[in-house]
Amino acid sequence: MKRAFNFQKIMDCLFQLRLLSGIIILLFQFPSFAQQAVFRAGASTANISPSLGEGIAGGWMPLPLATHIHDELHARTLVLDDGKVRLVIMVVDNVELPREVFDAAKKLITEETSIPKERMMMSSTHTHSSTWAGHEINPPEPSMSIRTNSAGKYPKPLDDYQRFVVRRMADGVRIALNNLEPARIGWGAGTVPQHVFNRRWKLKSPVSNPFGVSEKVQMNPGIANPNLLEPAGPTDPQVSFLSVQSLKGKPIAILANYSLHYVGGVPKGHISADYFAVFADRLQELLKANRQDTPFVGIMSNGTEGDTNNIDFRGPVAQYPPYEKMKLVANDVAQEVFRVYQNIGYKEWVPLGAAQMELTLNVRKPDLQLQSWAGKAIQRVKPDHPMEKVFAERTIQMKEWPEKIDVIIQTFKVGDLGIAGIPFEVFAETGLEIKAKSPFEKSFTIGLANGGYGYLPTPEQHQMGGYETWMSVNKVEKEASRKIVTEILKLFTQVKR
Amino acid sequence: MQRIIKFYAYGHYLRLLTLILGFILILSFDSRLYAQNATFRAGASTSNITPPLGSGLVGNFGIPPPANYVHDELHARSLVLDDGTTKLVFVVVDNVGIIREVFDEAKRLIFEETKIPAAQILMSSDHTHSASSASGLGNLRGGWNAGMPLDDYQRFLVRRIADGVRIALNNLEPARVGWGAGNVPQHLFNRRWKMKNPVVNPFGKMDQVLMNPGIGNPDLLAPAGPTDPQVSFISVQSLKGRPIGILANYSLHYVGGVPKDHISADYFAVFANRIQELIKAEGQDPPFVGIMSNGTSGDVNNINFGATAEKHEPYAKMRIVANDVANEVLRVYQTIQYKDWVPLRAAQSELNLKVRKPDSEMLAYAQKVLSKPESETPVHRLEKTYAERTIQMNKWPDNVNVLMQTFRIGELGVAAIPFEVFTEIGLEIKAKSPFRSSFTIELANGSYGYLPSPEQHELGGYESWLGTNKVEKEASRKIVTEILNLFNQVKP
Repeated sequence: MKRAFNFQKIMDCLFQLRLLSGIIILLFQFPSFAQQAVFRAGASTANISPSLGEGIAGGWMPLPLATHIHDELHARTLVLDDGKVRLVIMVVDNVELPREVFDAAKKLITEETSIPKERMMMSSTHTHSSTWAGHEINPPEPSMSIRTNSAGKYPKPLDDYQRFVVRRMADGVRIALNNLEPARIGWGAGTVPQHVFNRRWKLKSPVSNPFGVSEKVQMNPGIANPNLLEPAGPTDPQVSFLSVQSLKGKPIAILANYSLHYVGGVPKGHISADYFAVFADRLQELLKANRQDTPFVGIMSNGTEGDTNNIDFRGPVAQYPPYEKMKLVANDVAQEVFRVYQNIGYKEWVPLGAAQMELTLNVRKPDLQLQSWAGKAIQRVKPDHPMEKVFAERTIQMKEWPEKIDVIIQTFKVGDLGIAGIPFEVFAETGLEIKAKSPFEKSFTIGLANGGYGYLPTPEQHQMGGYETWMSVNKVEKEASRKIVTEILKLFTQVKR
Repeated sequence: MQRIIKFYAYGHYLRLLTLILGFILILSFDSRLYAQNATFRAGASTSNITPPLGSGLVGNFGIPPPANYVHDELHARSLVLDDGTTKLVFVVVDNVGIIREVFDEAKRLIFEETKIPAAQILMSSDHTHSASSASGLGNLRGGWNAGMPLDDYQRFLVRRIADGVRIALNNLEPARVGWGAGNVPQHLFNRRWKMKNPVVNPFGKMDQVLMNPGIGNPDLLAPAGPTDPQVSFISVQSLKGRPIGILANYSLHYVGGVPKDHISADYFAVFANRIQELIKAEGQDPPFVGIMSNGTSGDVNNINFGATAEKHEPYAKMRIVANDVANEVLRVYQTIQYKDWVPLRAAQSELNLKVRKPDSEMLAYAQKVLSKPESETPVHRLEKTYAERTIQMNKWPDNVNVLMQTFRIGELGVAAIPFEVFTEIGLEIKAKSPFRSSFTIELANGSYGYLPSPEQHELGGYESWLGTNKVEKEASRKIVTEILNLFNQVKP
């Protein structure tokens, strides 16, 4: 009553009211207010295993059909809440979800939870043992590429599996929200250099690509190939992670980030989340966080992995039974996270923020010369390169793409930690550049976030050629990585304020 | 084919030789000698069947509350056994009760994909009360919906059940098999009580028995029936002793105690997880699969009406019960003998039962109840529900064919009945079974409501009400007779 009386008095004076609003706004921006708010976190998994009989994406056409589920696929969600801002980070076991699927999920989540889409960062792990959730799950022609139809025919109605995944993603966020509890947060980074290898190699003598052009660089050149000179780029050995615990120290979730394409090695026809799930399980085991109610959720997001895999091309050739190699790598990465985890400092509250923008990029379209090459190559009985026909078809398909596409560029602030989201398979050197130039004390980039538009070589890597630079594997202008880094840094600065 | 044709081309001698060879082959297929040279194999799997949030959760009266949370994932859990000539498939599904049409469609798909005939597939619902409907939505649930196209969740379930069986088949490996039984009497209570004074039912008639009469009700006389304290189980291990799967069977309706909008497999999943933990079978590849099938629990739940009320946090009670049952299974598990090979057999039949239809008097009563104004005090709080069910039952056909099925696993007999079977019936089957050990899985291959014995029908109570019970009052007699027939067909 007394307050109401005072308020009435203030209401009488417009000037005073303005003053008060000013103070309120100041208070809201002032950390001392915010620190009285409770920081909360919640996590969940939602099962997205496909039906048997669907095509498994990751390899070349025709897609092998799923005959077995080795381990279930999930959409793993972490929700952070500083009292004002809620951030959703979701990592989905899929090779490369297109923007349409992420957009549909975000729309549903906003409808159901009022969380704006800018505050959701969703990404694919890049497991190579999942059902394709792009546009063409069952392409009309077996030889037709599955990878080039993403943006070209947008918007297109989602198919059964895509709708299933969208529903599960939205359910996962609701469950994570239900699991929100007061929490403390910490982060750290370790290094696991021994499992990352740049898969692009400079060669002593150039090799011809499917377009009939000689190139200096070859992707996956073969182990102990005598033509090898040196890797064409660096690797990023860092494994970064963010940890949330209940106030009593019960682990809620760990979101990790490591720049490694994937580690598979699964029998043909097997559905699996590859090494990403093994990491999550192993970390849970190390933390002794089994059988919690609410369950602990381990998450491995993919970093900037476009040119980094797990194969040491210097040799020698190593043979592993199915699933063994992924266990080896996942265990080592989990062990390193666990080592650093034991020493990180936790904070009771940190400010959260999000910023995103749509960046318009030119689509890389075939010029007349390339089109005429493709027209001829398709008809050639004896191809000059084993992949000539495939890339001729893909080249022609790129004509169907629009001139320009808008891609989502996004950053999150979690206290002094910055997280970038880029909808490409980003090269390690680009990720390293972002880490170096970031205004945050620590930062990492999640690749294949909010969409999937293929590889993102730097202009320098485009010069050298190789698989990732080929038309249709790469879909956007050669300067795209520059523009994206600039934009990420701008958004980092914006969100850091 | 080509080889056979060539064979015949050599004329008389070869033809005779083929005949003799064929005869020997047939003989050896029948002899144990041959069979014991065959390898016994087992494989198990789980297949995720969690419904989307927003789905109505069924198990209680009233409008199904929409799911807002997945506490634990729902599964179809499969165990496949193979004696070299016959494969047997068990699938236990986290659902309150799945209609025959869904199971039939899943079996059809499995046969198409794996050539395992339907008679060798035993599918059942565990009777979790925290899952969505697999028997149609809204009024379709409980209605006669044979021939209706399957809805989204039913189709999803069919696909997932079939996938689960394929995965279990992929996981088949040489195995040894054993079985045993323990006792967990302390968690079972017959929920039907004889009352000192008769109680009114929704049809305006008087019952001697009240289901879930309320804890400490001063009117309680005695439980109307027994309980079956036995927990039976089948265990399969790899030849090196790595656990593959345990299929358990306990006659307990369910243990829930979950917030009303939570999806959960109730105590059934807690048992599976706990037994995995106890036998240290975590993190295996392929994973160990624990399975709890429901026994004959139509009249047995977890509430001690003769005692004082206890309060439990959500999920706490189911843990107590599941842990105790798992501990008892573990105790016996440590002592069971494994066999490297046992013969597998299956038999099934279609039993024609009369549907219990309302007479004209009951229909008139139902109409009268439905036309009562809302303001009028009901004679029974569920009278409108049962008036609707009475009318619904009138739309059922006059007869239904229900599946009766038995499996033989060596010296163990397993019966399958598509009802919520009363415990006394389960005990009768165990007593009269030609097998040394046997158990019954209820809600198997279909779901046609409760199955009281004729004596229990006399006493009345919820399970005997028209709509809750759907078939002739003599059904349990016919079913026991048929199960024993089928047991005799597959017995050693």
